[in-house]
Amino acid sequence: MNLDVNWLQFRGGKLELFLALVLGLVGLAALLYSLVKIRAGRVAEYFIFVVVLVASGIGVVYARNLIVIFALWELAALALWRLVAYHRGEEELAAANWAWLVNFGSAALMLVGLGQILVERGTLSLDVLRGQTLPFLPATLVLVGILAKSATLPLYIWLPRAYKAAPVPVCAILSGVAENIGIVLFFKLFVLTMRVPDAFMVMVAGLAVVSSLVAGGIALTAGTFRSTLAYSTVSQLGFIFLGLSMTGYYGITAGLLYVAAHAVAKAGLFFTAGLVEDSAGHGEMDRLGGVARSNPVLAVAAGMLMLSIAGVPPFIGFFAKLGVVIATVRYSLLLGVGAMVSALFTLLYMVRLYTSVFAGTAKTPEMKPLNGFIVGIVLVLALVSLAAGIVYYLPVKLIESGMTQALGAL
Amino acid sequence: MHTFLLMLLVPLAAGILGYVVTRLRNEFSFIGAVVALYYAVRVFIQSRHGTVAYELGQVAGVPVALRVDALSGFVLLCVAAFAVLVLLFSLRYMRGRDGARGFFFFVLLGLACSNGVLLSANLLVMLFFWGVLLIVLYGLLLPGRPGSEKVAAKALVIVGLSDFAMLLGIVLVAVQFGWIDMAPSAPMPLREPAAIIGFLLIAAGALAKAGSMPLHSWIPSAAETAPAAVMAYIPASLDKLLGIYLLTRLSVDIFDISSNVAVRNVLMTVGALTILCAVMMALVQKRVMKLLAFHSVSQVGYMVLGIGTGIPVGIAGGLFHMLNNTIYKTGLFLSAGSVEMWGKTDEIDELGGLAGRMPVTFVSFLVAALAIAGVPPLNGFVSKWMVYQGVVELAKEGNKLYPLFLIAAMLGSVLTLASFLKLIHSMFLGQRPAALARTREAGFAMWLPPVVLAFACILFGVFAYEIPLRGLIYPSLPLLVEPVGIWQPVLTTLLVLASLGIGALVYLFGTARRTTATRTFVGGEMIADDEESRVTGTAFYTPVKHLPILDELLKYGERGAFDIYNWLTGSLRALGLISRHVVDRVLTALFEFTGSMVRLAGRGLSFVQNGSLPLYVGWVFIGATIFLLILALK
Repeated sequence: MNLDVNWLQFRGGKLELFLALVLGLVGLAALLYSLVKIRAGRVAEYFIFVVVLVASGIGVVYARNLIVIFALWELAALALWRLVAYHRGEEELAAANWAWLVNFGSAALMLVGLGQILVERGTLSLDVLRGQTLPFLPATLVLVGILAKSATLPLYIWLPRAYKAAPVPVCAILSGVAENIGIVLFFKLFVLTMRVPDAFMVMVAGLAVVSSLVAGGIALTAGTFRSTLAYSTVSQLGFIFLGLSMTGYYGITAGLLYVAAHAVAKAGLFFTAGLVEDSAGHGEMDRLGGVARSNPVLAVAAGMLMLSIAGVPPFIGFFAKLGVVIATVRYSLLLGVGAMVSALFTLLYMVRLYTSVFAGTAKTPEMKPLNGFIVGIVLVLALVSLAAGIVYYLPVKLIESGMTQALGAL
Repeated sequence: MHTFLLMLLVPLAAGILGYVVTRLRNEFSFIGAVVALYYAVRVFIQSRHGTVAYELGQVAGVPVALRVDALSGFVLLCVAAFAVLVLLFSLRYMRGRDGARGFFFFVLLGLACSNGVLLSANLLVMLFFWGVLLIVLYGLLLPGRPGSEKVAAKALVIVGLSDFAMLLGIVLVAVQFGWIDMAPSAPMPLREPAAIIGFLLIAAGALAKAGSMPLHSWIPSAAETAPAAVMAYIPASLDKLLGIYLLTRLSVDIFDISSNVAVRNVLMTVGALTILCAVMMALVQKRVMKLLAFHSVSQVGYMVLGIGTGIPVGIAGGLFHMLNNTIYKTGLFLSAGSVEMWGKTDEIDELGGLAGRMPVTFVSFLVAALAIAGVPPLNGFVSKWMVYQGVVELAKEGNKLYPLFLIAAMLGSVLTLASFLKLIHSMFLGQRPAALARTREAGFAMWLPPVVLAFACILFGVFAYEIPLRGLIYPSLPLLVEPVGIWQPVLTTLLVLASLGIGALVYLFGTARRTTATRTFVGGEMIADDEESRVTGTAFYTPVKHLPILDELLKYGERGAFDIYNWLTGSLRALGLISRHVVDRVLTALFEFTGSMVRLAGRGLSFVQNGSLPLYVGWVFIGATIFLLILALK
């Protein structure tokens, strides 16, 4: 046992700063949305758990000990359980229970993996574990927890239900903060700290591509605005895992850029979904249309966010996707082709979404006017995606110097 | 600020200003395009004296730099010139139309991005600007006749597919051979598999942009919903210029296409098939815009065929055909736009006899139509002639397929002429329907661009060597193009003029004018001279529809059976349905099964948890016994 290391330490460099900024931005946007929209019901409980969720996400980013990370991890799951069940209907409770059970069960397996690390290495401090080798089995056990948290095949199953049940800002926090907790642990443990067998990373990459393809396919056949976005989240998380599992300069840079691009854009799109649902009274794509005519600003902003996720320049999502493809093709052309097909799925379901919700003519006769403040939030998120893409070298430089900080000291 | 940056920023700024300050939209847009043209001329002149480069730095290991050389200087000039002409036409044409505000913005954004594509010094930088053009395409196609949103989505998906293929190709090549410069000191031979796959993937992007089969299908669909100005700007000028520019760069500067016979045959086959299939589809069209759209697909075939030969004269011919096609096709779309606007329709059946009403439009349309059909001495003839020569040269290499390519190219040319005879007859000659009685000539801003383009058709045909070939095409290629055959355009022009003169004399003094006119009759009975008895040209080539095999193919073609978009979305949707109904269901069932197992176990355990103390004491005893046993056995 190494007792010199202060286990309750939170510390980080520029990489952690970058991640915390992303999570913080999404959390802030969701809080603003909540301030406007969540006015009745269990308001106190709601806001407490929202803050707990965002805080535990940022805590995971900065924590230097795996046991602290695990504690925050479960805290996030708990907050999530209450937030998904916010409306307390039959369905919402069931969805929340699913989310809790899948997350908790997988986290239990993860705990076994962590225990194995503790027994073998004598510590759970990331600073001491740095550079040591992590065998396949404990790595896989930890991965189970990560896949459940970050909703990847085969453990994504709780996610679409949770998205359907949860209030809109919680959806944004889910895809922008809660699911990134898993990504952050993956990145900190497997990419930055410990050495894992190549076979493990190949397994993750393969799983990521398959997950991305399957979820992309389901998103393409989805019936509602939200469920398209829910499966799209699963699909995009696959891209992030793919990039990070490739490690190396391009893998890390692209993976982190992707986290940022996706979190910002997806949060904005969930807000859009919320606005449209509020206005039309439902979110069924077949019965929507013509929002571009009634609210052009929202249409332009949402279109920009969709393009960013689909990886079209000049938005930041393009650079993220490009980096992932560069990192992947370096390793294997086949995985690269899989990623491109998945990107095609993304483009296709985004076009389908835009066409059915914004283009054409309105199919729901009485659309209530939209909340201007929230349209403004969506627009700001869209402009952030655009600006980050135009000055893409700034985030890239930040990640670059963060990497020298983190890996240079190795 | 550097001229290169201004070429990107001026159109962009003008577009944004025009979008925001709606009252000065026309002024901002037009001035922006003209300033961009001014810079393009300056950069073009600079590029004649050598390459000009502008380094912006290095991000993530990728050098970001802008550069102009002879080839890009030439295409830059073309892009800016066509943007100005289309904008001039649109000032009047787009007035009051749905989506006019976005139109001007996207036209200028398209101009800025095209400049970016052409100025990019390596493929990765180019990919950025190339991708933004996807948004331009969608934005321009979105407003329009009902159903336009579906067409815009279709275009976005098809071009997006090719963009992704290109991205993969560029990354593959970059990962294997380093960041690919647009004009390295020596082209790379196409030998290694990575180079060949990379080339084909990037070429797919270029071909889709140019509108070659099988990635063409959004163009005819767009013709049904989009305004003529959009058709003239995107598929007719911008996309052709950029697509063929990239294909030329790829085949001549970056890779050496002549080093791989198989790749050349693939390209030439794509070109030949595109020429023939698209022109067949054009023959049976009933709407002017859609007919022109199929021709603009068909013409790409010549460019691809020419570049695919890998022979210097063929490549030069392909590049020259790009210029020529852009000139006459833009002219055709613009004049057809005038006709559509003043005639209120582009159904061939409902048009006719407009030559007298719209003489300027008629003449410019006629010249452009003859040029596209490859009638000497117009420009289309010269470039097609060069492409033919390139194909014939293949014989020297022992290429067995070349007769097929040559036949396809020539047959395509004949059918093009045939289909334009039909079009000219039905639009401008023949009887004028009553609805068009009050049609008048388009205004100055609308007829000037087609007239300028028609003039260019003549100029670039008659003085083909003196102006375009020697001034624009040959300097752009790092190849030594041998002087072409015995074709002498000036002499031919004189002969053509002479024969026209003789024809005129015969007409004036011969018996041709002494015809007898009589009223229409059937079986001796006079028929009223009304709409009912008007003969239209739509059915000129109906027999084509009844040829065996071909009739079935055309029928399927019309229904979209060969449309790659339907195949693509269909197969991806099928995958999606499998994912939804198999993978998702199975996983859910698995989880539910686990859940019910846990519940069952819980129910089982609840029997031992009944609150009676003796039972609990019993459990404790049993447990302790087992524990002790284990300890004892150890």
